This record gives sequence, structure tokens and C-alpha cells, in this order.
Amino acid sequence: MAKNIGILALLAIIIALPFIFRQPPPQGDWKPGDPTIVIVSPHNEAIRFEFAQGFSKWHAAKYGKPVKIDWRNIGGTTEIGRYLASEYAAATKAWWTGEKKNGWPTNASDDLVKPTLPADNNSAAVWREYRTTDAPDAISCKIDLFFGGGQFDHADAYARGFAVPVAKDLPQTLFEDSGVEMIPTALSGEIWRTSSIMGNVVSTFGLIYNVDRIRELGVTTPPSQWKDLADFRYFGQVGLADPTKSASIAKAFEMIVHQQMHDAVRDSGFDDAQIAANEKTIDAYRKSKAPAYQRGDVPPELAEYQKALEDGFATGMGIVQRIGANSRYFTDSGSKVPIDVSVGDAAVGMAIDFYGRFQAQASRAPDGAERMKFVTPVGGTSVSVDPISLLRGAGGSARREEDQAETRQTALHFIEFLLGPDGQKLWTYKPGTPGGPEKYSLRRLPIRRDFYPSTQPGLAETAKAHLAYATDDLASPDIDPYEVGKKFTYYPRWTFDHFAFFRTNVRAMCMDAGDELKQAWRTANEKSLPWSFEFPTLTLTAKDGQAKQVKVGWRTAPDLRSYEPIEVARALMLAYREQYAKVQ
Amino acid sequence: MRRSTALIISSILIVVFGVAFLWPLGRIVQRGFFDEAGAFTLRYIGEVFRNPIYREGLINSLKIAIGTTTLVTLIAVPLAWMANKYEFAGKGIFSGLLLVPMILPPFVGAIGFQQILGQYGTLNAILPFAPIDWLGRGQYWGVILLQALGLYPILYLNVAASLANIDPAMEQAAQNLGSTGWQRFRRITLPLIMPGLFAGGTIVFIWSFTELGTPLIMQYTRCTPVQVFDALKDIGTSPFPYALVFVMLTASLLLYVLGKFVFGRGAYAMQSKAATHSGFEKAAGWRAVVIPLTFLFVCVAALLPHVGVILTAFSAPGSWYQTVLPTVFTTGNFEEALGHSMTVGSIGNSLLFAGIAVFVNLVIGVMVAFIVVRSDLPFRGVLDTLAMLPLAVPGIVMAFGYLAISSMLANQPWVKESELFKSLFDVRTNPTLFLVIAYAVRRLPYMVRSAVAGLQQTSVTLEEASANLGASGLTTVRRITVPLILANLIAGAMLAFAFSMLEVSDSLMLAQRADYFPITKTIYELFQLIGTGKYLASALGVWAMVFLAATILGASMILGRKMGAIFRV
Repeated sequence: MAKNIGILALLAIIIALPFIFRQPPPQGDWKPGDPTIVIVSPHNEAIRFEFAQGFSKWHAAKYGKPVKIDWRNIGGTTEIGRYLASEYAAATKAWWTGEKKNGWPTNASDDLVKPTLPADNNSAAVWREYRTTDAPDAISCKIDLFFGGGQFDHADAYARGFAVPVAKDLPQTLFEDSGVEMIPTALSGEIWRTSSIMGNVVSTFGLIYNVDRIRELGVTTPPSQWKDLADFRYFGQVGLADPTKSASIAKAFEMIVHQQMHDAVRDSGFDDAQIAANEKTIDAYRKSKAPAYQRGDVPPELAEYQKALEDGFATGMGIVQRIGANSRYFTDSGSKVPIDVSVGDAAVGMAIDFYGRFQAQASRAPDGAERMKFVTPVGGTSVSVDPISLLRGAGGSARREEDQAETRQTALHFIEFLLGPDGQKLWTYKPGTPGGPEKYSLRRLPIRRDFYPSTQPGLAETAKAHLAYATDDLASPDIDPYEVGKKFTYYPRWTFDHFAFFRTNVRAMCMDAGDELKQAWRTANEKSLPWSFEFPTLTLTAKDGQAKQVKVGWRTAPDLRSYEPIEVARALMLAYREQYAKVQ
Repeated sequence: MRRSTALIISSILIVVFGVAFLWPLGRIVQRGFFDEAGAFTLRYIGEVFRNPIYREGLINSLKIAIGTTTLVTLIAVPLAWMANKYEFAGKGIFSGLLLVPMILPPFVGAIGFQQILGQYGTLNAILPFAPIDWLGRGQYWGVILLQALGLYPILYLNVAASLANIDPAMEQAAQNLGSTGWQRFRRITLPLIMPGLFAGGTIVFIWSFTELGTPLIMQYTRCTPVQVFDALKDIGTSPFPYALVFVMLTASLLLYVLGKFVFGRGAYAMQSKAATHSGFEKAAGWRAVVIPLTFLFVCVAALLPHVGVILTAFSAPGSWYQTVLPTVFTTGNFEEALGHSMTVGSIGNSLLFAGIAVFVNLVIGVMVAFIVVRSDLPFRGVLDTLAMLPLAVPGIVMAFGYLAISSMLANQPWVKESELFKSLFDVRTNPTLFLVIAYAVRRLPYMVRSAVAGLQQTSVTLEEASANLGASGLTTVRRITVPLILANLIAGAMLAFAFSMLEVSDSLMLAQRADYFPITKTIYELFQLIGTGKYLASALGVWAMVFLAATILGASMILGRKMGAIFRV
């Protein structure tokens, strides 16, 4: 009996512990009847907490009412994309067949959320109505905003009809104030805002390394550029992010290649001014030859320049291949690589700036010694944004129909807060500072121009004031995104059309044929065999059913889109496997 | 069982399976059969076999499943046999500890492995060499070893329950007839425990065939579950991953049917169950040393990742690095994790969801077992196989299926207009119903296998006698059948409860609002906090482990002698 009581008491204590430690949830002044908005987001709890608190207070001060944010967390952007597709298909179907009393065409649920107009006339009718209907009581997924993720995810949300234009409904001073562009539309080849995509915080990709681990591997000069990761001494020790699972990571791989193309043309004797001029000339040439223009056609005097560029493309892909050969894994988790490098379970890796810097700080030894470092590969990274989008039918989350308009307006206020100085402070200020977060240091880089050094007098002073409370040194040229972005000049002609190919090729070359690649790379290094990169020649089935030989390269890679994707993936993988098998 | 009763029960089961499992599954998997233009095609299914990496993936998964099941059998059967036969030092503690490996919380489990086996982990800190990359090399064998150390409790529980059911008179009779120890085990014990062995073995086999977590920890990517995961998480929208899921499901089914055909036949029911026990033999001589040492060795090896998680939870950030143990201990992680505003609610939610799910499981599990073992319906084998299928479906696929059903229902006018229906069918309003269904469906195989094994070991004549004496069907089930198979039901319920509490994919996707987060989602949310995340998540993970361990051990101790008779542990 005593034993039984003891056991029950033990269980009671275990269950009681969380109650004992329980911290009261932040109440704020919100009460039933005040506005509530629903936001779907892949952002973590720290960001959700601070923005919920900050926005409610700001809204109460500016618009007289506190706001409750009802967060929806369903995983990463892949899950969010699929979820929204399923919700909008179901909502549209209910509206189309219910209120409009129409029949539902076969396949309309899938066709509806595709970016292009469906071939089937009935589906096309639904598609058009869906794209032109933005009313909470018609089609709504009962979520007002999509906050966080990458630019690509938000562009996709817009293309598939989940998101709607919002810029015109916001105070224009958010974007341009006193003649200064506070939030540029693009930088370093990355789109920062459009009519629907509102970038609000920026990030770069960089390198992280474990100080002790690289010393043990015999590396005396720490890595500072992407190509340094191609060194065989890092074999099995490189933690990589997976470009097939996130568009921003695919973009990072694109930048690795883009940087090599830049280096290749410079090595051929063209300086930056000449490169810019050549690109202008080629653009004019392209326009003059359209529509017969073919990718890679250039005026005869620029043939050498073009060749250097195409060689640089292959060199870049070769570096990606060797980095892949050194890889420990390709992960879809943003936190895995920084955690692994910080505990020495991988020597080097690729990480988003804030993860890298944050983890480096958190993993310091008790005596403060630094174990992990983050480096921005100068000239090798663009600056990308995490946007927010207003969803179609925003306001539909309100329980009562008469509250829908206010809910939609409150969602717009959230964007206003986020893009304005008060929301921006939360990203970078230290906890407890005036206007800063309450509890968590978010350590992210705000997007607004006035948070960074400037030669313009008004801006310079504002930046200085922010700097006093910021967690990171926003004035450092390694951190200031406007400076980092300047060092990377993006030429869309070079790699923009190749974006899909990067994913397919990295996957085939380094992941699907990964075991064979690693084996070959190890053999080549152990036996001192030569190693070179060569794009394969593929045999593919064209749309007319005929077999076609395609020599992969800068000129042909984007056109692989016109073949069946699973066939391209298989053919690439088999071709690389064949190459690797020859290394003996 | 009367045929009409059997028909009614099986009709109910078919409807339940159809609505709760096949419908959501079908909605998702059928995508593998339609191309981008919506036309039916077998191209994607064909690709699985045309592309060598997917063929190799299937073969590797099969090899992993065979290796894991073999190793699990080698670990679990001797342990269960020794626990059933001998009394030895520390038996009570070991018997409990042996079950703990199955309650490794998600996300932080990998951290536990890393702290122990990582390049700067405990093992390398003990060894006097340059850091060995344990997690980066020996991947195939590493996967098998780690999986076996995590899965052996499933087989152990099932075999222990089966051994407990054996009437000692059987073995005594063999002994009287001059049979030696090994002969007795091979000719008497083994055939009699075959239902339990098959029950646990098939679960371990299908689990390891479709297991994702361990191969990911070991970076072993060329196996089907990882390929499915990679394809599903791809930002593209190709129907291919659904075809791959379909192939993996079909392969699991075929392997199960094959296993049933080869190993699952010839169950021997006993006229009398072990109402008495001949008593444990006291381990003497070398046995007194070797037996406890064997238990100790398995417990230590299997609990290493748990120790890793526990120590991480108690360590100050950055203080466990190149050392055997953390250098700075703190309770701060617990204060913050347990005190977090999400935590208390999520514990209550998990208990509620898992509790109801186990109850549903018990009812359905017993119904399925009755049809499979006690009826002569021609399609009973199909029902049995169907009940195993949830084990082979990736969690993320089922989660997408339930989401699709919920959004379809939520947009119906009759749901939109009623608060009650919204709370039931719209996961955005309240995911309880869907989470309970998801947990119950995904954990059903444990209950079904346990109940089937119990019924197979119990002679139908006992139930017939009850019926002859005038008892109604329900009374017979309540007074005769359930008490006889109680050991098996408790074993199944324990597994179902523990794994429901630790369920990942459905929890992450169906519970979208913090009010309804189960504990696994809270662990995930804490894990996402940069810098301190792994420490806070470990702290809450430790709480979950301690709670489940206390529940399991507490149940076994409170049930006392009854439980002792049930499991002989």
C-alpha cells in the first residue's frame, strides 16, 4: 500500500513540476471583442512571441485597440505551401458549387492552384474567378497573413493565387521617405519587394567552422570562401543545406556558381566596368536579334568573354561537386548544420547568418573562448529577404461577418508595423532596450535603410541611434547588408534561367549519386588521380517521342525543363555515376 | 463466434478502417497515379523500378529490416526467457529499465546520440585516440545496431507476455519425459511463444523497413524511407513521391503476408492457461553473474542516447564539449522549458489525445483480433493485414491526408454553420478528433498484434464452456476472454500509449494553434529556438521520458502480483 502511494506521489510530483515552474502567459490588455488576426508562419516561438507583444502594444497606442495574434504553425514553407493549396482548393470549391451553384470540373482542385491558366476551359473559368475574387466572405483560407519563409515561397504563393497585392493599401512612406528609398525593390539580384511580397528582414548565407576541428584536420588558414570547402581535408566533414528543399538554399548554390563565373571573366582580363559594359552590349544584341536569338549568341568581339563565362559556369559546378563530395549530409533543417559544427560533429558548414552568429555565441566555452565562427564569403553571397504576404480573402478569419473588414484592416496594420521602425527594432535590438524585444534577442538584420550607415545626414543620425541598442554591429561592412550586397553584382543573364537546373543537377550529382561520388573522390585523392569536372551528355525523350542527345552546359541547361523531370533526374544521375565509376 | 456477430463486427471495422485510414491515405497516394495534366499514368510507379537508386533503396531497406529484426530477436528472446525463468539480482529494476529505450523523445533523441557518439562526444573523450567519426562511418551496421537497441522492447514485451501465458505443466511434462533444456526450448517453448514472437517480430520488421529517424541520424540516405522523405519535402510538386510511398506500402504488405505465411502459421493454443506459476528458479553459480550482467549490458547500451539527452538537459549551454560529462550543470533549462507558457497545456493535451486514442485502440484491437482468430470469415486475413498497414505509412503522408479531409469537411455549409461541427471537423478550430483518430490509427498495429497473439494462445474451448453455461457473448468476453489475454492487452496498450505521446508528424501538422499543441510539438517549438533550443527541448524531452517511464513502471508495480503473473517480470 505504502509502495502504491509512493508511486502515485511520484507521478503527482512529475505532473506538478510544470505547474510549479509555470510562468503566466503574457496577458497584455487584449480582451474578447478586440481584434484578432490569424498568421501562418514558419518563424520560431521567439519571433512569434516578440511580434505578438510588440504589435499589440503598438496597435493599442496608434489605433486604440490591442490585438491578439492567433498563430498557425504547421511546419516549414513546404508544408505551408501545400496546406494553402489544399485550403484554397477546398474553399473555392465550396464557394463555386455552393454560392455560385456551378458544377465542379474534374481536376479543378489541382488546376486551380497552378501558376498558369489551365488548358481545360471549365477549369480555366474557375481559375479566372478565383484570381479575381478577393473577399473574405467568398474565398478565404481563414488565415490573414503569411509571415516568413523566403522570397521564392512568397512569389510562389502569389503565382498560385494565395497572396494578393498589398503595396497600394499601405502608407507609401514605409517605402520611400523624404526622397530616400527605405526599402529597395531589389538588391544583389534578389527581389526585396513587389506589389504583394513585402520583405521585412534580410539574411545572407555564410560559412561556419569549428576552430578545434579544422585545426585537427590540419587546416591552418580558416575557410573564407565557398571554394575552400572543396579541399579534400574536409572529406566527410562538411554540413550542407539541401537546395532541393528550400529555394533560398538553391539560391545560395546559384551564388557559388555565379561567383566563379565572375572570377573566370575577371581572370580572362575583364574588369568590373568592362563586364558591365559587355553585358549591356549583349543585351542590346539580344534585343536586335529577337526572336531568333539563341542563348549564348554574342557579337563576335565578345566571343572570348562569353567563353570565359561558360567555362566559369563549369568551374563553379565543379566546385559544387567537390563540396558535395566532402559533404557529411544535405539537410532540410536550418538548425542542424550550426548545431553540428558548434559541437564539432562537422568541421565546416553552410549556414544562414543569424543561425551562424547566434549559435557561435551560444556555444562559447564557459570561459568565453570561441569554438565556432561565422564568415561571410565576400562576393559570394547575395542578400535575401523574409517577406510577409496578405492572403486572398484576408479578414475571413473573423468569426462574425461584421468583423471581417476590421480584421482585414488589422492585418494591414501588422504589415505597416513590421515595415516601420517600431517593428524593425524588434529584429535587432537587445532585449529590454527602449523599443526592443521583451525576452528574446532575435539577432536578425532589419531591412530598412535607416538602420545602416549612410552618408545622408538624416539617415546617419537615425542609424547611429539604432546602433546603440542593436545586438550586432550594424555598421560593420561584413554585416551591413547594403555593403555585403554591393560586393556581389548579380547578372540575371548568367544564372537566372538556370535556377531549376541547379536543384536538379546538385541533387543528381551530389545526392542521388552521392555514395558513388564520395567513393570516387576518396579514391582519386588517396591514389593522387586527376579530378576534373565535365558536364555529361544525356539521351532524353523529346516531346515528339524521339530520342535526343543533349550535351549539358551553360547554353543547354535551362532547356532541360522541356523534358520529363524524372527522366532528366535519372539520366543525369546515371551519367554522373558512370563518370564516378571510372575513377579507380 | 457466431457468423452473424462476426459479420456485424467486421462490417463496423471495415467502415472504421475505410473512413479513418483508407480514405485519407487514398486521397494522398492516388496522386502517384496521375500526371501533371490529370491523366492516369503508371509512369511514376514504373520510375521506382527503372531508377537504380530507388531499387537499391528498397533492397537496402529490406537488408536493414532483416538485420534489425534478427538482432532484436537475438537480444529480446534470451532476455525475456531469462526474466521468465530466473530470479536474479536487480531483476525488478532491469525489467523496468529494459522497456525505457522505446520512450526516446523526438528531435532531441538525435542530440543524445550526438553527445555520446559525436566526434567530440563522450565515447571519444574516453578513448585515447584522435576523434573517431562514429556517426559518419559504418552507416549500414550503425543503423541496424541503433534501431535494434531502440526496438527490442517491442519484441521483449510480446515474448514476455507469451511466455507468461505458457502453462508450466507443458514444460514439466517434457522434463518428465527426459527432454533437456535446449530441447525443451526448441520443441515446447518456442512453438508455444510463436504468436508473440511473430507479433513483435512483424512490428519490428515493418518498423525498421520504414524507419526514417535512425538512417537520418547516421546519414544513410539510400534507403526507401529517406528517399520518400526527401521527395516529399522537395519544393517541386511532382507526383513521384506518392508513387514511391505506394511502392513502399505494397512492399511492406507483401513482406508481412510472406512473413505470416512462413512464420505465422501453426500457433498452438493451450487448453489451460498459466493460472499458476511453478516459481522462478534462483540463478546460481555463473548464472548469478552472467544473467544480471547481460541485462546490465543491454540496458546501458540502449540507454546511452537517453543519458545523452538527460545530461544535455542539465548542462549549461556550451559546457559539454570534448569532455566525458558536461562541465557546468544547471537546472535552468528545466525552469525555462517546464515554465514555458506552452508546456502545461501541451502536457494536458497529450494525455487527453493519447488516452482516448488508446481506449479506441483497445476496443478496435480486440474486435479485429476476434475476427481474425475466432471467426471463419473468408476475408479475415485481409482485415488482419489491413490493420498492420498504418505501420508502413509515413507519418507525413497520413498527416496530409487528414488535413485534406478536414479542409474538405470544414468548407461544407453544415460544418460552417455549427460551432459543434467546426470543433469536431475543422482542425483549425480544434484538432482533437483528428489527432485522436491519427494516433489511434497509427498505433493500432501494436494492439492488434498483441490481442491476436493472446487469443491464439488461448483455447477457444474456455469461451465455449462459458457459452455452454449460459453466459452471453459479452459476458464471456468480459469475464473469460479479456482476463485471459490481459497481459497482451496491457503490453499493447503500453506501447500504443507511449508511442502516441511521442507521435511526431500528425502532431506537428494537425495541431496548428498553441492551445492544442501536444507535447511533441512543444518540444519541436522549443528546439527551434536558436542557441538554447536543444537544451530546452532536451529538458522537456526528459520530462516526457520520466513521465512515461514512471507510468509504465508505476503500472507494473501497482498491478503488483497480477502484473507479475502476467509478465513474470
